[in-house]
Amino acid sequence: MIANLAWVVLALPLLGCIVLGLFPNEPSRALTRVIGVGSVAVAFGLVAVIFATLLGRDTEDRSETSVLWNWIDLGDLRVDLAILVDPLSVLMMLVITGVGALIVLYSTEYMEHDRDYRRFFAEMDFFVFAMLLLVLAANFVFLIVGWALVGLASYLLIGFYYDRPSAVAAAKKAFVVNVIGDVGLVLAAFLLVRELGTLDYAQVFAAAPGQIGLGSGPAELIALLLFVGCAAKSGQIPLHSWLPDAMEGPTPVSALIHAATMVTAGVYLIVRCNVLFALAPHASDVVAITGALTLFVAATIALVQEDIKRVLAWSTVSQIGYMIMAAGLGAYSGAMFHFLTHAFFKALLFLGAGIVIHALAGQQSLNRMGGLRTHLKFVYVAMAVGCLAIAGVPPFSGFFSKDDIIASAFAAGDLGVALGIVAVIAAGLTAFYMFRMLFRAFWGPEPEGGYDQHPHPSRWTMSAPVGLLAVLAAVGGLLQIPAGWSVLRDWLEPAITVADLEPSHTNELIASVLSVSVALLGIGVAYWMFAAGPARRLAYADRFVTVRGLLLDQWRFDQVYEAAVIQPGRDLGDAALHGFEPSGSQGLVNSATSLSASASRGLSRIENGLVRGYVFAVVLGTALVGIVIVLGR
Amino acid sequence: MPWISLLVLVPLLGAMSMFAVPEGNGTQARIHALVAALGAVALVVVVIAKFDRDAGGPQMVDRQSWASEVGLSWTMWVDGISLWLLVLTAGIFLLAIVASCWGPCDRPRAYLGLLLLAEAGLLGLFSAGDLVLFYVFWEAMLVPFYFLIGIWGGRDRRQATLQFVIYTMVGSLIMLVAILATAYIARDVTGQFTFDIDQLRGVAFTKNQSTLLFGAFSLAFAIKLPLWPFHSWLPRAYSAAPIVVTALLAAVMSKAGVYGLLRIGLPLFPEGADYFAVPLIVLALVGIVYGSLVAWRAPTMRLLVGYSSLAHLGFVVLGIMAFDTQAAQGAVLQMVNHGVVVAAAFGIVGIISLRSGAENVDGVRGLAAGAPRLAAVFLIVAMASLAMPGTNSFVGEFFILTGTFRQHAWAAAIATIGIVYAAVYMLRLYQTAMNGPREGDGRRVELRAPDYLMMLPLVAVMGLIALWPAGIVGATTTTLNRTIAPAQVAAERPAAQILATVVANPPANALPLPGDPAPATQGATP
Amino acid sequence: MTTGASMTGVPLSLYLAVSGAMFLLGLIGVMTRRNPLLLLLAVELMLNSANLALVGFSRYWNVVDGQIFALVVMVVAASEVVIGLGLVVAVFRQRLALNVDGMSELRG
Repeated sequence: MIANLAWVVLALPLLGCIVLGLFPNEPSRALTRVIGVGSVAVAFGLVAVIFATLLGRDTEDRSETSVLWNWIDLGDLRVDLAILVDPLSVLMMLVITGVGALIVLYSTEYMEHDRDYRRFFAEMDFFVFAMLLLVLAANFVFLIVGWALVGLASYLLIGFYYDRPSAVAAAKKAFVVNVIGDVGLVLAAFLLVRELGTLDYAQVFAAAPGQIGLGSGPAELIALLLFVGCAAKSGQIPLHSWLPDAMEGPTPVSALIHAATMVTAGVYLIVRCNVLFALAPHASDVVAITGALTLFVAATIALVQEDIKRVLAWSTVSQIGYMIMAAGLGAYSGAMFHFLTHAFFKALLFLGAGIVIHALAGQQSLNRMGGLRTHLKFVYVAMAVGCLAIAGVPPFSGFFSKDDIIASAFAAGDLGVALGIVAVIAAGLTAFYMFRMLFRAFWGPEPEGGYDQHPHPSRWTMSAPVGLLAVLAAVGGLLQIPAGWSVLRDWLEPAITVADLEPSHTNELIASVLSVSVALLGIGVAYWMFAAGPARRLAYADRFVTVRGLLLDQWRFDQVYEAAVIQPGRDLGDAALHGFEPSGSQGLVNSATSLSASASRGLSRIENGLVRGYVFAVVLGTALVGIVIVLGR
Repeated sequence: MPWISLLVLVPLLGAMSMFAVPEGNGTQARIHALVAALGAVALVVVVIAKFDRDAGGPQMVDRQSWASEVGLSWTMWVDGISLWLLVLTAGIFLLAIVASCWGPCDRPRAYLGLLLLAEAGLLGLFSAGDLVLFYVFWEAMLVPFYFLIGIWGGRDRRQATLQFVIYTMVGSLIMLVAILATAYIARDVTGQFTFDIDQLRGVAFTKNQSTLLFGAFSLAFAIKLPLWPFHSWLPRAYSAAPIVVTALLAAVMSKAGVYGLLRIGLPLFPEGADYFAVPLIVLALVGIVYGSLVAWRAPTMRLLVGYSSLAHLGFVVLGIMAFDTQAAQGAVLQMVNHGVVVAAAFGIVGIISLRSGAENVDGVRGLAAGAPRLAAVFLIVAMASLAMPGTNSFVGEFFILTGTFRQHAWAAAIATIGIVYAAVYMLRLYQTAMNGPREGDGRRVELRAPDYLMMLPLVAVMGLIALWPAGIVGATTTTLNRTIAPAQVAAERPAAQILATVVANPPANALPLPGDPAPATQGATP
Repeated sequence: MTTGASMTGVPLSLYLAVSGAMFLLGLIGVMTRRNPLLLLLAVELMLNSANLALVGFSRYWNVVDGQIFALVVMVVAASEVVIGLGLVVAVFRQRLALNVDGMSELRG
């Protein structure tokens, strides 16, 4: 029953996408709005019903699988088109449809000046469908399908303004990096088939501990390959550089796909496959280290960004680093907790930034902002809540979730402590860059030459989602209070079958004190530099030219890839096309053709058209036959 | 009813009926062609309906004596491997004929007649149950393609056809020798002189014989496929041919080589197949990487799709030569997928280049604004071509690689490079034409009613396979298990992976041949 | 004379000698002459030499097969001459020089 409802949830956005896509003429905007928002909102309502039903059941009874039909049966490998409804997927669905509905509602106003109104909502619906498929899949095949389809949706929406070359290039980059991630997942699936002969979640997770040894080669390799997929999707080093470029898409897209839902799919996957990662301690260490590295590097890059959306993008990369690190260390519910709060506050920040951008007629540069708090009071308050949440100031949501992660890290041995310290430092950086953004946009003097357009406050369609998200970002952390209660951990317990890392109270105390003081320090420095004396920032910018250059170049990852991977590939292709093609392989066919041509030319010389020549040949042939007969006797 | 023979005869008769059409009467020629092509499709539907999905062996056998003294017979049948290829051939040819009928067409009588002749040749090839018959159809389909490219082709058509024909002929002559050798050697082993493929199955050739014969056959198949490095007829022929013919070459004719490997190579010469397995896998891998790289840099749209086809066929060969049930089923599925997808891709390239006059990849830009529907269909086709999960090609490639990974993990790992590059080159094709500044007049290339007639069936089939691949695979499973089992035994695969029993030929209890050493139990012969 | 019927009169070897001589003459004619008419005559000579040999053998073995075959050859020769002369006339109408060496349009 619950699973049937989940199929409807899955079908609704798809239906919305199909109806909008196949509509013969451009449908009226009102109809587009109804279909676009309605399909996601109704889906959210149904998910809420599912959630309430599951809540009423016993803990062990909260998971259901439903098979639509047998997708393929290869004799020794059978895959069904099936979904799995369990606490983890329901949590994801709640966020996807809930935040999704708010963002789609917001888009109705944000995109109203755009001529491709219908296409936008069709693609948004498609994304919601793909993301639901990703989290609902009951086997690795449909996980991969959903995984790739969200990549496609992301590609389409990043390249939404397809007449802008930069958007097209960013879309392509995102797509190709995602395909690299897909390949990682696919290889992991191959290994699973070879080792276990199945791709079904239930069977894999049941059989894996017995058939793949703890810390064995295949176990580590499977976990690492799965992580390649996660890293590509969740923007982890070294596959992170597509995510900031993805800000070429419209702002609601950035909020939904590149902040709240899709980019956290990697976290979901690690949590979903907690059995497999628990079998691979070394791979898990790699995951945790990668997360820590990413969260630090991304935080440093965010310090110098001038584009308001790129600040948020790098901050997203950094925050996902926290989740990945937590998941790598074994704090699965901690990772999911941060995913939840992050979905609230990052969506809030993006949507707030969207209102600012909308109010300034598309202007995204912090240099063209300043002093906006008098014009856009509501957004200012909402963004401030978001900044406080992400900076980890109690009692806002980010404080609880981030502290959970840092405290868990401290409980996870030597490596955990080291990574925890990195995370604390980055927490300070986070507070600094977020408030840098806030102060530069809303405080200080107005930009020289005035705004690009007089900032106008938004209507309710944009304000309501922002307000709602602000409330959630403020109180969302109360789901899990150290030494109090842990609603989320209890809820996820059936899905996380391995021992979840639980920090001790000492750890939590140390983590709270450290991170809050660091965060306050960061906010203070930001205030001193950007709000109290705006002139100071230019002075400091001049003093750190080299470091700033490195950070502005985003640690030069892109340049290295260009030189080390892309250009050699191009050269190889050119060499094959202009070098090998004309001579090498063409040589084979040419030699076959010319051999036969020259052979026939040589033979044709015998046919000289003179009767006596032919007669001579006849005589010669007869003589030869005679000789053969005589000698052969 | 001899359904299979009828299936081959209908397009043949359609081609013959063109002689009855008065010269210059294009409409009548078109009607004849459409009727014949529709007839073939109707017969294919009958064949699907009558096909027993669980039987592994030949079905609907039609065996007529042809020249029984020399072991020749008109043997036509269908099994799980050929079933979908027949469907693909009939379907794609119908679309090709529809496309040719709609557009302007120079000398429609001859053109459509030759198309039907090619269809008959391919249908015959895919249903031939006799080696000589196989050879006859193999050569026969070359003739119509020779004229189609040579007369209606574009620049360089003369040289392209000459190369195409001579090069394929080299391979097929070697195959002819191998066919005769197979029959004669098999006679010495079994005491029965026959060219019947099903009766030659499991003949106990020595390892050397098996290796040499497989080598000779696979050379012909490799050229036809084409397999790297025998592919050089491909760029010229694909560039020179009219776009409909290019689509047919890529979608249907390229399957002939793969089909030969599965129909003749593996079941008849398992030891030779085992000997050549890794070399062929390596060539297929080189083809995948090489084709992808060249497609990325290819100057024209046709070449881009053409080289991508080289890479995709590499996947199919990989799946066959892995000797794994999963991989082989993926390969058969991928044959169908590739046929459908590449036909659609060439269809779109044809629409764009015909209406905008651009052949080069960067010849047009920004079409999406004026042609949103073309852009949508193009996107679907591009995604299917790069095997995005959720499309039909993904199913094929995924299972090819799962199976290959089980046997040769390194090969599957290298092949994934091709998946990444596929994304790069297909996006290059799609984005350059569709995206970018809205300068091009997209409305000119927007899909029109006849285009829908062509593209929608293809897209529908793609969707169907993506959602329910079991529909295709279910019919092929038993046949494929039976086909690859000998090769699996030769390659000493674990018994759990071999899903069919291998029958010895001659059977163990067969009577001794004259000249054989008499079995000890019978005592001395008088 | 080991087998077959007894033979009176001209021995087989003489038949064969005359036949061989005629054949050689015809052959030399074919190889040296350039006029198509003479060429045809030479060919006729060769055919008749063969006929002579056939009749001789037929007589030697005392079976009629050879004679029947000689008749067939005669018919063939007659038709060949008809076609040959027709060609000669056609060539004659086209151009005056009756020289077979000039007629080499079909050379490779």
